[in-house]
Amino acid sequence: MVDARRVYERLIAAALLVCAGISILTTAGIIGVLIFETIEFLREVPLSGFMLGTVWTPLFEPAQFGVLALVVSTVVISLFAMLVSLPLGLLAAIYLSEYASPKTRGILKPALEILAGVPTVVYGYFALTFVTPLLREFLADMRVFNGLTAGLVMGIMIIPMVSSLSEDAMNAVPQSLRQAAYGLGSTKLQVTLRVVLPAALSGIVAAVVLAMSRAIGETMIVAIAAGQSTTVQLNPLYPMETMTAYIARVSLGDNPQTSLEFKTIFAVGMLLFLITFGLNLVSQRVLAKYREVHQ
Amino acid sequence: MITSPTQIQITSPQKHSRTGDGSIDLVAATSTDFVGLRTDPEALPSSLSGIKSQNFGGAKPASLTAEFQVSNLNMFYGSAQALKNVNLEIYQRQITAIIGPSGCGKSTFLRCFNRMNELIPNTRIEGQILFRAQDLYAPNVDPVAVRKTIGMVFQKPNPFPKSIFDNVAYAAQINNIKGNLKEIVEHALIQAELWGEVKDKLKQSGLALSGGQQQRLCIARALAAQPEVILMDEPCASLDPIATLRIEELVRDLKKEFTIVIVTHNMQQAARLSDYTAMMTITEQEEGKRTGTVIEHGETRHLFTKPRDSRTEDYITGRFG
Repeated sequence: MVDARRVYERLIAAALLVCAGISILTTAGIIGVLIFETIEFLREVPLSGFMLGTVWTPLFEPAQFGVLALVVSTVVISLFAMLVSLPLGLLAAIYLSEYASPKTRGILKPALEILAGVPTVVYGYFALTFVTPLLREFLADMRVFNGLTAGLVMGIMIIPMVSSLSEDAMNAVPQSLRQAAYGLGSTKLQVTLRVVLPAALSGIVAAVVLAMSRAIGETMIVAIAAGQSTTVQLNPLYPMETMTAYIARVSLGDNPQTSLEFKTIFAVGMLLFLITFGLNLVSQRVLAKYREVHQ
Repeated sequence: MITSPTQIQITSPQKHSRTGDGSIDLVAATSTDFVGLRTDPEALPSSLSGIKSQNFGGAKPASLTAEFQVSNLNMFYGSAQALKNVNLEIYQRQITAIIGPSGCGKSTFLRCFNRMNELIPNTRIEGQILFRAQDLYAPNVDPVAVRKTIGMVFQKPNPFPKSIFDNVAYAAQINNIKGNLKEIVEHALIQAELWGEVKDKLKQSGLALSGGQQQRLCIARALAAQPEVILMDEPCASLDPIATLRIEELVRDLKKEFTIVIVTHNMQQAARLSDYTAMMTITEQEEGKRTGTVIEHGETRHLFTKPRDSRTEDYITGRFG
């Protein structure tokens, strides 16, 4: 009896290990392929030309591989996304955590989470067919495909992420600190701005970094609404191609799998992976420090 | 000298004229208009005379002034009554201890004095608490202004995750205390008998201090707001005996300038520290809902040596609680 149970327990543990192992192996496999293909790519294109060049025309003659063109577009669009999501997300979090009655919060929080559940392709079409025509009423220079709309709509998409993570951070601030502040004669605004926000700051910073990582990795909105560009484009009213949008476009195209053109997407993918991985590491560090403070 | 009727009205009940002065202090100290209009000493509620007869401590000594007058206080959490018919007078610049068994509502009662209970949804209060003749629960009284005047120290030290300096400075800043911030912080830390230990590390986090030091930091923070009264909710509950004695010494010194109301579980502490003691007990109990009230109030030395209520005697001799 005892032996049978022990064998059973071991089987369960083994099955669980396999499940956990699959995701780890997949990740390792992806990273392995990325590294391998990137090395292949760098045999033909020098690293300096890839990282420092400003013209990205791998599919035309003469082919140029200056990834900065894609990186700059990615950064500009992400900045617009943060410009929208940071203030709105943070204010929503402050309202939900400190001001809303339990009843209001019970309605608003799920509503915000619905925003997070909208498929990104819907945001993409919303940007292209609704927001861009609307903005073109005011901005005569704006092209049909442009970076600004993509950035703004991406910002709206990220609001729930910023607000929900920031609200978690603010909820984690011990009630005793609020009591202390109220006991000294603080108003609600003073408690929020001078006690709760500073105490939750590292949690909020982590939320912002994660949101940035999300913005940089977001694909569908930019693939649909931002258009294509070949050089460093700083004007957000013009088409801008991000790293993700480029990868999506080339993956769907008909370049042979052995061609240099096709290998570019692995090199760009590797760079994208390194950036978002770095941002996630930063956010984890900040969160770990935050936990220390509250223990 | 011919005494006019008006003068008699203002000066003859000594308490009334002091009350008027107190209100002026209040407005000046906090630079906040407590209620929008200052209390007229002549317009005292007629119920005032009734309080004294309900005061379990008997006649108050002529030399003392009432800081708080609690009459027929009932307090509810939703439908559960936590306090029932509490009547009590608390005297200025005296230490009043509130003792009683767990769950009798000591902390709830203490929080009625600075309207902290209102931060919990669905709390309700009936009856009256007068602070220097001003009804604390009058509709025109701002609870934030009440808390500026009536400070609080909590059971568990709760310094902000800020530097020692900023912890104290925060209290002064939000209360618009005039003067050099460094001097205000230094003064508060000296008053709280913490200055010597922290003067070289003011930029360090308040959380890096020991428990006893953290609690003195919290007292310094409360003092920097320049209150008139300090409420203490079992301030030594989480401290070791030596840190406890330091806090007690400090409280005794603070009595010179402040009225102190302290909730304590420790009867020796109440006996050592307080001038007056209020004994609370649970009067009704059902399904986890407990209702408490003050059953005896008087000078500590009398209450501990010649308790008038048998329940007080049982409690202080350790027979229950």
